[in-house]
Amino acid sequence: MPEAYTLTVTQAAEQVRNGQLAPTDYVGALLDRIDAHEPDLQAWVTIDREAVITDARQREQEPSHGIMAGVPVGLKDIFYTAGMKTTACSRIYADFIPEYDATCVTRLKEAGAIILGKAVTTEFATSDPSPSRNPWNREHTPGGSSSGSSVAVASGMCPAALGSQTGGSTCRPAAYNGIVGLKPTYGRISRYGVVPVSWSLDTVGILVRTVTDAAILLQAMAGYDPNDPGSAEEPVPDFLVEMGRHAGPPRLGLLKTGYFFDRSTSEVRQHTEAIAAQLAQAGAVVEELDLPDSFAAAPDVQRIIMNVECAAFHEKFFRHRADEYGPRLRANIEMGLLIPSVTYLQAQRLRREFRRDLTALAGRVDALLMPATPAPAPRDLNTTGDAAFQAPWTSAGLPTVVIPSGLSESGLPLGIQFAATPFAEGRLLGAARWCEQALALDLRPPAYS
Amino acid sequence: MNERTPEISFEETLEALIQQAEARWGEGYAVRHRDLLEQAARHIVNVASSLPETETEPGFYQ
Repeated sequence: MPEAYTLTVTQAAEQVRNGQLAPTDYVGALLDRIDAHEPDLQAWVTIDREAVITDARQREQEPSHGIMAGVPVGLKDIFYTAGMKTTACSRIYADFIPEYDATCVTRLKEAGAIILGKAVTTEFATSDPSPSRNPWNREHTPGGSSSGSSVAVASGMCPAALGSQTGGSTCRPAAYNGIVGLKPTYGRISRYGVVPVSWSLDTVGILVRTVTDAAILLQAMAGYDPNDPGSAEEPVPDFLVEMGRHAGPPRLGLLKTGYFFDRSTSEVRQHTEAIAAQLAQAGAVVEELDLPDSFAAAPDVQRIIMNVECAAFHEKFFRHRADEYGPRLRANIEMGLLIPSVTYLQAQRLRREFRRDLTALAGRVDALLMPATPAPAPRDLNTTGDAAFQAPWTSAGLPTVVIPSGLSESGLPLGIQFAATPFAEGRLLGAARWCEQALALDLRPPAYS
Repeated sequence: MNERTPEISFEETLEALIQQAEARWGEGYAVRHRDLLEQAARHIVNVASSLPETETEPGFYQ
């Protein structure tokens, strides 16, 4: 019997449903693990032990047959939890206790999940670094903004956690910590009850250890919500069935020239080419594709939209409490306040153009393939790293998934990122799972294995 | 018709941002945050010089 902390969502839910694993034993083992490693890693803001154990006990008395039966999940501390603090790791929300759960939290619970606690985020899910440490090397950033969620999953404190992505806040920390990160299509998962950064960019993210686990969490949370104006009225397929329909060797479009390779270190370039060759050797069809011209404006567009919308949300607090903000978030808000309204609207026009062009590009293959980050996690705790490889996809609203693909010379995780057409998560995850199986890696941080 | 607007220069844009910033947050602001203002000016100029051609732009009313 494997140690409880090594179980994936898929394994844990199956064992709970079969009666092989008692939810109280499972959460007990994870709480012990958190006690042991939290001083080193600082992944959590709030854990209510008694509430977690009570919840687990209730799951034993009234067994759930849901797809997340008895599975503990960590939540980035921007997701509303009724009766439990939601601080966004900020001074502004330090005492905020929501009266209701975020829609996605409600849906996780309905699927049988147990909320384990609230994970550390950078302040208001932006760019001032959090105290969380990378379990692969504590001197390197774990990334952000979903830092605690990623660290918790990578170190075996929980099998799954929610993050969010406005620039690169789910898929970048997933890559830095050697786990799987899924950013679904914009509008796929409700943001009702999630502290916003930028309404037209924010996307709920999923952090897990396998691609199949990402599909399970997506299944639990996806679907229209009238309380979120950005929620999409798209049908929700059975993602596991969809993955099964796309289980064969995928057709991959390698984005080798221009933006992604130009910004990567030589180590990352060589690694990505080697992985592409390995996948081709295993049967994938890999062709090189070029980015459309309209992509060039994507980084500028993302910064303008994020800063302006972030400033709009924070204006009411910022006018009188600017000194309570971290320096980077404060600067972002100030820049947002200075951007002309015409520039914001022109950025939205450009965004529509490159979204159309990227959708057409992604439609030529099952998934686009690129490095997940320009380099492994930097040895610098004053940064959350570089979101350049995520921000354009977030801005375009296309779904992306990151999987671990190896280790750097310095022993840090490297990842590859896939992107697909809007609402084609089944195809995207099918391709990613095929690649995950072809690479057959089992990466765990040595100090926490 | 191409809407590109090369007449918006980086220097003019930066100067406009500096004036606004100093009006809001005082005279020393632009000195302390010069790099951020330059970055914002670059974003604005890049967007202004990349506008889509109206014939091929995805329509707002489609």
